Amino acid sequence: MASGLTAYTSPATPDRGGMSATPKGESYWDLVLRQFRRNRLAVGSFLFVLTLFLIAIAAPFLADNRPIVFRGAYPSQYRQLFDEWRMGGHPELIQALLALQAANSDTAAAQLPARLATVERQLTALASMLPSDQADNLSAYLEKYRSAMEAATDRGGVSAAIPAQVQLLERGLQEISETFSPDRVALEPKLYWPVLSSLRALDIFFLTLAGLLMLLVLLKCTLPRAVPGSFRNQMLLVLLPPLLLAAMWSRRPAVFETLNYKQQLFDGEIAHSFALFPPIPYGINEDHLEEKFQGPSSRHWVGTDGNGRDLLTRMIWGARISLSVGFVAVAIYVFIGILVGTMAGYFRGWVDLVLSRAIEIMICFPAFFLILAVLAFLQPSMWNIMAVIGITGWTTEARLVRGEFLRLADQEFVLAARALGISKWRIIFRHILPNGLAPLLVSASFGIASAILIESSLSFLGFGISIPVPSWGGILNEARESFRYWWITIFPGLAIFTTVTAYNLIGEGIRDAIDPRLKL
Amino acid sequence: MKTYILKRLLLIVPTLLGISIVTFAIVRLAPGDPAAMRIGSAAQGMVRNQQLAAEIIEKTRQQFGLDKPIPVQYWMWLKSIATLNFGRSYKDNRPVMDKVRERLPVTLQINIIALFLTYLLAIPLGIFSATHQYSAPDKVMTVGLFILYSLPTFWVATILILFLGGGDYWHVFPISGISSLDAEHLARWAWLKDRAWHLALPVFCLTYGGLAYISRQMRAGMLETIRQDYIRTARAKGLSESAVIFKHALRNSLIPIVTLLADLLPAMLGGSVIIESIFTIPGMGLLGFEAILSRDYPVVMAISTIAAFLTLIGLLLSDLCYALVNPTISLEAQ
Repeated sequence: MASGLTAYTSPATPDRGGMSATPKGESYWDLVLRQFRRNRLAVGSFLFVLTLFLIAIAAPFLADNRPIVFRGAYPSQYRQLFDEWRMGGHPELIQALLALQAANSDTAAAQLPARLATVERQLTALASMLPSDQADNLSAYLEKYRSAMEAATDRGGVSAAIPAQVQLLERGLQEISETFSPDRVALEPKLYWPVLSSLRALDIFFLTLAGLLMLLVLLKCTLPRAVPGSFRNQMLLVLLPPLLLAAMWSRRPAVFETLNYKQQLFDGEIAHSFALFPPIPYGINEDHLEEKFQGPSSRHWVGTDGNGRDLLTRMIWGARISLSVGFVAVAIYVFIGILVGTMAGYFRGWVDLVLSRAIEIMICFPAFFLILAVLAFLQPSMWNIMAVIGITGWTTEARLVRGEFLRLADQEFVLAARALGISKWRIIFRHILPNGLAPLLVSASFGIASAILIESSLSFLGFGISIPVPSWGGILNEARESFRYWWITIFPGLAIFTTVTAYNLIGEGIRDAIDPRLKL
Repeated sequence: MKTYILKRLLLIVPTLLGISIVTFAIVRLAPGDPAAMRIGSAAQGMVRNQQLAAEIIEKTRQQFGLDKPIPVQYWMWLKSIATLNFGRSYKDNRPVMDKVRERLPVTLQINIIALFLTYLLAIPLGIFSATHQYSAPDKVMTVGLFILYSLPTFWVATILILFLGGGDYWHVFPISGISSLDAEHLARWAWLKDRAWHLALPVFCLTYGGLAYISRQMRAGMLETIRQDYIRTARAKGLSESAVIFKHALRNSLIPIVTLLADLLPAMLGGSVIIESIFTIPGMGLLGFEAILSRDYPVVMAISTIAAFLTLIGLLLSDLCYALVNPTISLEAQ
């Protein structure tokens, strides 16, 4: 019953001075969007922030010392894998078999499949690097492992079969070691995607999400008719594939790459026919002490720092930290603010009195000092910084939401909803809150700006982390000891400053759009 | 009106208690045994016998009441801070209040100068912008102030040091301390000049952010006021433009600006921490920063309590000011 009534009970367009001439069929948010679009500065800032986010998401493809793709034979990787198998996978499997022999228990038997899978993975990876006929030979050995395992487990774990199988396998190892040893084999050149294999599940999620969103926007602009479904369904459609992909990606065995591709490709250790590097071919922690403190040049676009690391690379990766801190911290405090403000504004009375005291207490604390003090005895991590900024910053939002509730709670549409017997939670979250969200959006975008400022100040004072990935403030902190070199100070600071300005301009834009009366 | 003021004053009590509970809780939640911290690692190193060390810690715990239940400890702490006794610093065993008393004047001096400059510049700028709305100077000023508002303080400070404080560029200002080494022997005017020379950069850094904020608000408030009917009436009856602006409009648009002081105060302490640690100014901010770094909890507790208390008073004053000029206000709708 209630769902049929929402359209009538929550007015889509609360009357906000002089905007009664709304075209038919245009919702409140359409109107806000139309107003926002008129503000060129705000739209420009929005696009700027969007670009920053894209750069941050695509950081591995923009700035890394790993090649995106190269075609070549890769002896050292083969050697590494080979050793992993010979000294890791194989003996562990043998051990598991012997353990099964010693104690014929289910737990000992349960270990076997995982060990077999490891060996299988290692041998398949080795085989993939070999010419096809040799690869077949190697795969034949894999069969030996499988049959040995079957023999060992088939007879209900009777220990008598195991020693023979172990002997068989050890002989197999010796044969393989000889014919397929890294010194003897001729490797088949193939395509490697080092950047791709270095990505984590979160990278995959955001990369696909960004790609799909761009596709959606492109489709909407070029063929508006081709995009079916409501906005909510479209968002679901865009969110689902990245989530699935990321989930699949996270099941991949973890790879810890320590190989220095760049060095090896350069030295000819990897014989390659072609290699495609990211446009800025430097790693975040790639030291070149002979190039330290170099000013901006064609080689290092914004110069290098005291360890000879490329500054632009560090800034691009730092954008990930700085942007996400602002976003997550504000998400946390908007959530807390809505919760507290709703309670205080809707229930009033003593609830309001208590919560207002809580708000007052939080306001009185010197926020920055409090954050410093709390961070001092927590483990330094970006998550802690986000959490602490989030926990201390909610007062503005809480006061705003409280005010909106006080203003809206007595309006006709709320009274109508109450008279119809709609539950109070539904009234709060479906009727009042959506009408009070606009000012929250404004303060959230100002909030992101100030959260980025706070994070960078904290990192500047040394309370952030700068290993492995520094935030912009963290780079400035490193610049403190070498402040004579202006580029280390100027460029990361400019990044912070432009981002903060952009968020502030967006906030102004939204504020003017939702309430043109305030436009000055 | 009287009941409002009375109620507002009474509501301070729970807020004060809340502030003290939060401060106490944060320090109690901090890892590390306060007694062990108190003795310090140096003393522990000297005592080879571990049992003896444990005994000493136990005795210290008793001496400072750390063996009592938390509520009792809280009550003891509350009683002592009511008499402004914040205990002794872990670092050098001096009473915390002495340290604060030493440092507070410096911070107050800088912040009062900054606050004064902020309002001194912000109000005329705001008035000018509002009365010349959409003119070229107004547009330039709006953009300029917007940029100032978004500039990170610590970055500006670093850049000023980089370009004006020696290094490879100009050497115009000193980059640390509040006076020269031989300042005590200087004549009054020379001393004042020396002090101003030292404080120029820090005060600038503390001023520009608030200046941008306040003058934007001033412009907004002034524009709001100028549109009122009574201003139109004043113009209609033939008052000169300056009389309209300065006599009729200004007074009303000043009120919200004065109450913004409450917003500015907590931000200033945060700013002091950053600025004082960059320019090595021996004030409360630096004291607090160093206390946090060395986990000198009594000092941390004292500074956050004092700062919270001062801010609370600022809030109260601005609320009362507001109530004085706007008698229709009630606690509920605030």
